[in-house]
Amino acid sequence: MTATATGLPSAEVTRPRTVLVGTMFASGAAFMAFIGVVLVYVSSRAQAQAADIEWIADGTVELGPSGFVFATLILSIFTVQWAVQAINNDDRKNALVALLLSALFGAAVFNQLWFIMNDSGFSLSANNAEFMFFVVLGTFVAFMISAVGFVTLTFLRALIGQFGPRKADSVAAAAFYWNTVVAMYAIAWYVIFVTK
Amino acid sequence: MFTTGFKFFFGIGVALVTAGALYGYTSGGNHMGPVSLGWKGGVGEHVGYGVLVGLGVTAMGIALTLIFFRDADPADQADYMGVDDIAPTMPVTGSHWPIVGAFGAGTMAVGLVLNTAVFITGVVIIGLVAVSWTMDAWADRATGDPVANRALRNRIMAPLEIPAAGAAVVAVGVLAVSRILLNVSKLGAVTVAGVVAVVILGIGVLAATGSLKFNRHIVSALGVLVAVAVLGGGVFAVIDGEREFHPHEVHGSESHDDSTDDSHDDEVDEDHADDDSGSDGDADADHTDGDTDSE
Repeated sequence: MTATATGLPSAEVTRPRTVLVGTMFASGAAFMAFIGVVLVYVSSRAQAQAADIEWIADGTVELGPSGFVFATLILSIFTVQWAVQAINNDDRKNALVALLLSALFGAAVFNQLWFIMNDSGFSLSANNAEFMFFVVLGTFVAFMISAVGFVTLTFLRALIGQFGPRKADSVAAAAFYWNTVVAMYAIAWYVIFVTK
Repeated sequence: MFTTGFKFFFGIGVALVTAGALYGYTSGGNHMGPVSLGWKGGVGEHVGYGVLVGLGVTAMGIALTLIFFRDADPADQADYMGVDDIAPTMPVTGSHWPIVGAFGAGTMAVGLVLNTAVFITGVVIIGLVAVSWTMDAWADRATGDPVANRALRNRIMAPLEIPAAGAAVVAVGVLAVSRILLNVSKLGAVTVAGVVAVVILGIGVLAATGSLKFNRHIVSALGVLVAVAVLGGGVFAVIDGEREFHPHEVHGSESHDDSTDDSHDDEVDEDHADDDSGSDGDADADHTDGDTDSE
């Protein structure tokens, strides 16, 4: 049903950037929630070290696979920004490819994280270190799921032609949230896998 | 040059990062730790330091984003869109989906603790909310006429929503009431069922004869109250568990009758599994007491 066909007045043009500004604040809140979880991890680790308790044994958590996750996420930053640039240039074809690639990178991250969790041989009930390992990575996975969902929804909306140079807000918002989630992993990677 | 939003959030960010560094030094941080994020020295108390610095970095990130988009200023947006004046933000229609969505999320959380069926119910609620809310958001912007938008939305969604809502109400109602009846005593179950049936019949008679004038708002409020009572009672009954059943002991297998045994519940059979070792497993069925019938 279109306004032209029915004679009804057409809807007013949506004010730009409101979605983006809203997403920005939501991303800030999500980032702080993740920081909180990481801080609990860091605090628990410091307490264990102060009590001379081994936190994570050498060789159980490898840097290599977690680095591949980080590399995958860095690649996804380029693809998600490619989508924003393409939609601003009214290049829907490239925008769709870029969004789909970003979502696929997200799926690859799930696969790699699943490998890391299995490879570590950790158990939720073993000790505090292993429990906190799953808490931090599990929280990241939850945020990653929401980011992949956001990008997938944006892809579907782009597929049916809802975006263009004058209406690229949601694509930029999805990219902003995606980049925030990548920043979350950067922190988790440094805290868990680099400094152990 | 610098927008108001940028100045505000950047100022907050600088203040928080500074506060974080000070807190780090006053809570045991040493050397360059609090100003190098722990790279060269200790940061002091981790959680407080991390929260302050994290908030500061987040505020600075928001400040940088705001300056890129010029605080979403109307004049700048009009320039961005190539028009003289920007249209005012169109208010969206009030929606009850956030409340239903929150209920779905709560149901999922309760389901994780109680059982899978409750969890799946929560997932289904969330799915329905996602679809319906999306349709609402689309319909709000379909045309410039709110009445036409509402009619358009209902034309698409009502054939799906009304049967689904009816089925859900019946299913949840049956499940919740059955749990309540299994929770209360045998006499209580009969009393509750009887009183509810009489009340429903009475209201029906009064409505049919026109003796009772219904106010739409009062009926809605009563409906919500009854729904909350039934659902709350059902949840409480699930948590509290079923009442204790005391089936009669088996005295032999001569009274066995297969044609009437199928309606008896498994717990009765299990209770008598040992007793029935020398006879047909269904032999106890004739000896169950009235408790099972009340179910």
